[in-house]
Amino acid sequence: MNNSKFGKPDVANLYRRFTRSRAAAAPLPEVDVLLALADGQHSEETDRLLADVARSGMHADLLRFARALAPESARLGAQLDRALERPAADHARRVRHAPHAPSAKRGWLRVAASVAAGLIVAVAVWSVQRTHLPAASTAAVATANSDRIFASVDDRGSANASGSDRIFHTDFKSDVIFRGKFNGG
Amino acid sequence: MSLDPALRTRLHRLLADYGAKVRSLIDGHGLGQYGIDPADIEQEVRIRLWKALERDRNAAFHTSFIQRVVLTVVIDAIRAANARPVEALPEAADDAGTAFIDPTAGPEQNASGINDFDRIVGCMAELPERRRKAVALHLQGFSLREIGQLSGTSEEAARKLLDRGLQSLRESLAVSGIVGDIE
Repeated sequence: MNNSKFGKPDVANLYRRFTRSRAAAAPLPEVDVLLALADGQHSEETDRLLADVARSGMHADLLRFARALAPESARLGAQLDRALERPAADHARRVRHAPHAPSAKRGWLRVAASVAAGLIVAVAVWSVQRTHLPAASTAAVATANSDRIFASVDDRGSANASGSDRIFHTDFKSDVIFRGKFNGG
Repeated sequence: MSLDPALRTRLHRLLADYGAKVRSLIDGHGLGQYGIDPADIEQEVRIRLWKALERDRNAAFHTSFIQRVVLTVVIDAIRAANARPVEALPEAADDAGTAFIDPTAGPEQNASGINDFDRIVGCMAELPERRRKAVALHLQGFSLREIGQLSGTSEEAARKLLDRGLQSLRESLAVSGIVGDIE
């Protein structure tokens, strides 16, 4: 297709045409990844899909289509809310949301499951505490013994201190001996 | 779901309007060229959304859910079209490459187009990855703003990547003997 003005090939036109024709070679995108990319989210999967978009016209068309769907889909959601007299939902929010998932019954089930899980944890903690109680009292005794050891060390320390005081007193006696020597001299 | 007739009619009308918009978008984005029938897609989308309403009328229909329904129908239809056995006509060529030949162009032009395309792809392969992606998205028709959003960069960063990429591509194409319009 040597087209466009002055007989020069229109590179963009050429690229678009041939990448569309080779679309069958690329695997079709996963809907969730396509939605995420259309929504401006970024991950390894969206990066891979963006690479496919760059080289496959069909993927580029699907991405553009997905982006164009967003405002119309938001409008339909709001219209359905009004028709069914429901409180207006946040139709622009990005969290994936299936309409059949959060029913009231499932909400109660979730609360009951949470309470049950809490009870199980509480019982487990209580029983673990009971199992480890003797060990804890042994530890307390050991701590008391070690306190005594420290106490005796302290006692010895104070005894030595008083002993050394006596040695010092003895040293003072040697002063007396020196005096004796001087007297003798 | 027990609905009073007036509400039922109103809901059907809403889904019919939406289906018509989906069909229009499919046509507008050229998805029909991938072997799908926009009328079939419109019908299937309406059926699936109605079933979802019947399942739980109290659930909110978020944008992403509605989009997912449509995209699932479209992608399934393309997959089915790709899997459909093609009845080969006597004059149909075996080479899959001829599928992208422009029927309005002459054989010499088509052959030249394929060669040019291959050389363009070869030159683009020499670009650094980020520039190559920006250039490819530009050639696919995405705006600078869209390229920035899709690549996770600012519009300004996308512009720089694109400018440098296009400059390099022009130089490579000139060396390859292609002097084309790239803007």
